[in-house]
Amino acid sequence: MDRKQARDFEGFVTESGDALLRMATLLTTDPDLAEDVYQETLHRLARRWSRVDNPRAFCRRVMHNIVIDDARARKRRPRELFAVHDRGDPRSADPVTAADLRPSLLAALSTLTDQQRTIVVLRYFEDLSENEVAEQLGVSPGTVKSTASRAVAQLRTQPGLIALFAAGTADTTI
Amino acid sequence: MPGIDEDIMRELIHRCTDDLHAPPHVAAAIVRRQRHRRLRHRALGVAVAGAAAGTAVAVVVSAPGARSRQAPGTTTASGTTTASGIRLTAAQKSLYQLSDAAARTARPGGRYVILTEKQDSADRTSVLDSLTGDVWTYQRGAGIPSELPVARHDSPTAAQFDAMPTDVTSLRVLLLEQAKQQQAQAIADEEKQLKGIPKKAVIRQPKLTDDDFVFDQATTLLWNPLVGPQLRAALYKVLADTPGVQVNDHARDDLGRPAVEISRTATSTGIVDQTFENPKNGAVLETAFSYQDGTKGFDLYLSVTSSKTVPPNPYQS
Repeated sequence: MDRKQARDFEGFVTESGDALLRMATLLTTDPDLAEDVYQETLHRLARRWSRVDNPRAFCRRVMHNIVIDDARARKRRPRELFAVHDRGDPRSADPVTAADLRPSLLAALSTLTDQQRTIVVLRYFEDLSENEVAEQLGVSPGTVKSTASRAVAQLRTQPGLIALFAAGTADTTI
Repeated sequence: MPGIDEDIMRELIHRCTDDLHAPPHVAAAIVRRQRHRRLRHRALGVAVAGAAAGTAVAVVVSAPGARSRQAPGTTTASGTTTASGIRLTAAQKSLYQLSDAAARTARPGGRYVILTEKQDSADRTSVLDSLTGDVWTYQRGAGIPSELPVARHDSPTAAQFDAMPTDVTSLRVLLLEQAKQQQAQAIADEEKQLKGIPKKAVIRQPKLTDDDFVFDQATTLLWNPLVGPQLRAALYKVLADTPGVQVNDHARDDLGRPAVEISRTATSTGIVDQTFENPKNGAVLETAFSYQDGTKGFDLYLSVTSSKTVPPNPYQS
């Protein structure tokens, strides 16, 4: 990586770092693990920077792979080791809705399968179309549509999210 | 009303994460570490089985094309053949002295070898299991995890290192074979990983010469504390026979410790690699690299000790 590539890489991370960390948090449902996934993703991106045309897509793919790999390892470990931790950020403009809601959302997301969670994150966090998600994951757009629909239906029944969906807005005090 | 549910989902997912911010220094740290990580991973690669022992290699020692950055007192490891045999240059003599010092130094006694380092952005302690090659990594620095998952069989074992040839010719053949095999594997891995990327990506690898490969491989094996005295001694002799190697035997590392500095500029990439060795025992004190554009990085090796058990994370109270 020469100086220009290093500048470009740092520029990409400055622009996309927050979003990548948030995506890692949603995919892992574990803020501590998310930091590791975020850094490992950037390391892999840095190693291939000069060969990657679409770094954001590359990161999505790498994160998905890391999370899938980690999930396989997690199956051999006790579930309680992966309790959701809340790490509210004092810079938040609205700590009630962010830090307070996050544990409920992450707990709800953790009830989904890896595939369901990835599709939810790509559709509703990354705002990818069904076709784009399908291309990313190598499945059909119909599978994306039905999986997303079932996942959201499951999430709206999870404790902590029921009231939000019933009220029709996330901007609700619980 | 799926449309509404999807809107709520979208709003909820953003609202619940919009206070999460990535640490700002991570990208710069990754850029600095990127090259060194590559080197370390290559050094940790499993040794190629079935070394081509006894295979003859003609090491053509040529003019190295010394760069202007050459420090006073720096000499080049290029020899000339006379009727009575090889006449060693001053640089080669320094490397042979280093080889002798390494050969006289006993390896750490315990099963677990503990290497403490200071990098440009972190302190690190690596624990290597000499029997299995498992590696524990503890570290301290802004924005990095204090402990990495145990890397199973991540280093060659002491026995695997001991099985490598220690005559210069065979060792050079093996190093070259290892380096090329690892590069081919790295390209294959990257192609496999890039397969899933929507947009077409192009694989571009710098074309390295055999001497680039050998220098890279030899110097990145040297830092591994599981490398035994005889192999370490042989690696210095390989470097003495590698064109383009420059030696400054009156150097100091970044901590001011007296050192023999060995450096070489890669023919194809212009990257300068330096390694600073302890003249008393041939141990590596520091490795450093610099690009033509000024990008630099370093690793200072502070201590090598051993233990019968895996020590706890020294950075956690």
